[in-house]
Amino acid sequence: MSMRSYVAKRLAWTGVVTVLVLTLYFVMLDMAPGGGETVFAFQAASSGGDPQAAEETFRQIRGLDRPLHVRYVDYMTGMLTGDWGWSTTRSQPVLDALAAAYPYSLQYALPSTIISIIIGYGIGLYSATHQYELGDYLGTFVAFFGISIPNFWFAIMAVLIFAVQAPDVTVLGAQLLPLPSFYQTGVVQQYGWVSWENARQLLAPVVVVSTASIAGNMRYSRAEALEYVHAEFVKTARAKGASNWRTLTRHILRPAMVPLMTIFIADILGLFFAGAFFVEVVFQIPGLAQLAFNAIINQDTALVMGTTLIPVFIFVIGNLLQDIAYTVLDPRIDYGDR
Amino acid sequence: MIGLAGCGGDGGGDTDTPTPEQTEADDDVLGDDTPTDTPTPTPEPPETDTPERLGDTLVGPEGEQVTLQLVYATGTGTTETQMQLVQQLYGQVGINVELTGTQFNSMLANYAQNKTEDMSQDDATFNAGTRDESTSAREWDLMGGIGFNSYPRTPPTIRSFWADERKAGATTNFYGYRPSTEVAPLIDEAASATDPDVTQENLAQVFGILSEDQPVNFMTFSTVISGFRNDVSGFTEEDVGPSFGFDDQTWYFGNDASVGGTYITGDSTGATTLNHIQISDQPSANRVALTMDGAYTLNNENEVVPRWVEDYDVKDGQQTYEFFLRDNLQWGADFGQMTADDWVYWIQEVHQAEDNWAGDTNQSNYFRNEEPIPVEKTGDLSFEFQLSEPDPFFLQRPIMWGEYCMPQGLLEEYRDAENGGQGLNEDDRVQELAYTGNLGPYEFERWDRNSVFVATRNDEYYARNTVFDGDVPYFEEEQYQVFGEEATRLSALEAGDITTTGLPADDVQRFVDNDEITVVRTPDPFCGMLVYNQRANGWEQLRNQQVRQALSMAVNKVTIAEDILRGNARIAYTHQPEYSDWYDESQVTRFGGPDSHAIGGAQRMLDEALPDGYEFQ
Repeated sequence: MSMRSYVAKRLAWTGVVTVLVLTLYFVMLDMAPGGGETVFAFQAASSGGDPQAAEETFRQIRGLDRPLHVRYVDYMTGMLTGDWGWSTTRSQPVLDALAAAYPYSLQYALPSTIISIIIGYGIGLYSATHQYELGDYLGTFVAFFGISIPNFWFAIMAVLIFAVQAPDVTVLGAQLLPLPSFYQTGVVQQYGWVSWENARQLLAPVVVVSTASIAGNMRYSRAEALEYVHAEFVKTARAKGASNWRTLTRHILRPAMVPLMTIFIADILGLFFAGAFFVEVVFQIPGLAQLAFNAIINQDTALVMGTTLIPVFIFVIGNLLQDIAYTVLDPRIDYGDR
Repeated sequence: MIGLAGCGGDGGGDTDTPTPEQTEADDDVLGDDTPTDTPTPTPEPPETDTPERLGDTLVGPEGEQVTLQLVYATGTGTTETQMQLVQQLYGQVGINVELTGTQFNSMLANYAQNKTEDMSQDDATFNAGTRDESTSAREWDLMGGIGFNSYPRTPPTIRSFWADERKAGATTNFYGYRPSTEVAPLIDEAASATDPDVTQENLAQVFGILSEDQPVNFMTFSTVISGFRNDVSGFTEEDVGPSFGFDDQTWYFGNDASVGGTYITGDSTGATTLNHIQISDQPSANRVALTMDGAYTLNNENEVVPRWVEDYDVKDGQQTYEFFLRDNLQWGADFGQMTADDWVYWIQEVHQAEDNWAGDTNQSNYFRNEEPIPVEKTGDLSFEFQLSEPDPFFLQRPIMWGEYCMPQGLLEEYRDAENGGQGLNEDDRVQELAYTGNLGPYEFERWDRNSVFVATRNDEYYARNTVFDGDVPYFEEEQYQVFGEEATRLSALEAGDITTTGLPADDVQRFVDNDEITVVRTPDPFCGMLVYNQRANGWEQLRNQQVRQALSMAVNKVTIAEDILRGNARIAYTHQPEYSDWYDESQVTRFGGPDSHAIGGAQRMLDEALPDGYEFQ
């Protein structure tokens, strides 16, 4: 089987997996208890109303007043035709909800990802080539600090220190501190996405998110690079007079990149459905992570399905891209017979 | 707490509906329902063991210690602490208590809802049959973390809680309570009595019976605590009451009442819809309230304060209520002047529509005995409700109090359309409150879901120089900002990034000590309670009044109010707060108060009340 057939087959599986996951979610959400219906009925009953009529009203408002199979067929048809349904907890189309939330997540996820890849891999490679030296210990400390410190706590501390307690600090005439205590969407409305004011309120979220992911990238890249630092072919390259840079980039980084590609592609694809829940909650960023979480908590079926579909699709496609990337980086890998 | 649609967000107690116990200045008007991160440590119960205890363990007929299952709603640290205190105190009495924490939704579904054997689970409701036939899916004896609205404005509303479980209308009697003296006829008579003395006497008697019967342990009435930045002016301590903020159009920043500034309220949850027909949550109601005043509001003395309705007339011995609209009320989106036609159509075709095409969440208020309340136009700007029997509480019910309306022209577009309710929901004029015209102090500006709702000052506000003197409202902009995390919300108040927010009871002191913040405590009509299951799947002795009294006596409410809730709650003895007009000290029996005989007394009462086979060892 050629590579093209392999990819086509995997893409077909992507569709099947996506439908299966969506179906599973749809049924599970319908079976899940709660959802506010009982509370709503109790409220009605306790003010003299009819609890059963209230339950009917609740189901009507939530679009749950038709049989499950009818709703399922409607929903899956809608998914194929671009109508992903209506979010009952946000009172807007699901696609609008996703489109509104995505930029808020991307604006902190993109810089965090770039920073964590560059700094994480950089420190990792440096640590590997300077094993057991001061720089290695320093890098390892940074990594363990980032892994150990809980994002949630770190974020709250950032708010308290840089927003509540910080003195006034201006840089080149622009105010730096105190930072805003929460993310204000009005700043984007007033100054635009790319503005100093918006960057200022993203400073703390980016630092918090980066800290954790730098650590992961650093430890992985250090471990992978260490496998090759003392390899025979690296020694040979050095013996032939290759510079440190050339040795690092051509003879250590390239073979190390095969396993690192798994993380790298995951990072990049993550940008298409990014979101760090705790960071979004603490800094009150109305991004995708909060959107997905609230959808589940409030049992907003259409929104749950929408926020599920994209990561499932990205996950399956991401796996495929990783497999293909391996063949590019290491010609010995071939899927021709699979 | 959650308010019913159409009640203008004035924070009036009676529009709010039962919900998880409110003990932390939560979520309703300004607050938060986020779990506290650090539960309050259980305080040591005071040493009040006089008279002498009879033993360490209460043993049942089978020779084993009596063990009760206590289920409670998780979510607030103080609730868990209260339940641990109950566990400790009952332990001192000799009763073992097993605690089960669960979400409020699940607690209602699995423990409160009940059904008979031949019913399907889908038909389970809060009183599906007699207490011998209908039981919940899971067994329980005690239930905590739940609060019932005491409706001090319209006390007959409590009927659904306390009417005998075999009577019609006992829709929330999920615990199977049978009063020692019938309370339903007393409440019914009070609800329609034209003689205020009869109402007063009947209700006082009802609250006396409840305090004696102890169908539940009435524990505390919570307090809503709000923090304001100090530069907010326009209210004084005298304005703090059940309707605090009903005239917040007159508030301003600084020393002089002049227009300027942005007033930002920190909220723990966001709005779900701006279609007020379908609103069932307070955050959504609060957003809409910025753009519409509603028919009228109520002040702290429970008096009608005119808004859209300029005047009203009570006729036919409190059976007919006529309302007169102002002549300067203008809809937006080219719908012209608000008239009586809009109101009659609104009530008949939305609130009383048989098919409930619009998904109205507030229909039950517009029916009496399952029949729609007749409503009739009496002039271009007047209409009246004609009741089948007198109702002295009509003006205080969420029927016209805080009631909004929609233009007839807008409703007609969807009334007979297929899926008209959803069509109305999606209409831009509803989504952006464009039809609200000059009807409220602010105009819709934008709604960033799960973030901020922004409304700007309405230059055409009908109430300027009519209802209010001066250039109201005084804020250029009002915002509701959502915070998913309590720590951030409180930090934002400290940093001055928001103007006001609700404060948690266990963390209020640092705001009291902050010179830049004013703390306001508002009485809340919700009564936190420990419910006794008197149905067949509860401990059978809970059907005995004296046993319930003994258990209530054992729980020291002073410890709960003062230590766990840090003084931010008042002790309850019946289903009515002491400030209520209907509370009669002379009729109320007190269990669990400062003068309670606590453990020793509880044991003696149990010893006397329990049948042969039970003994203290």
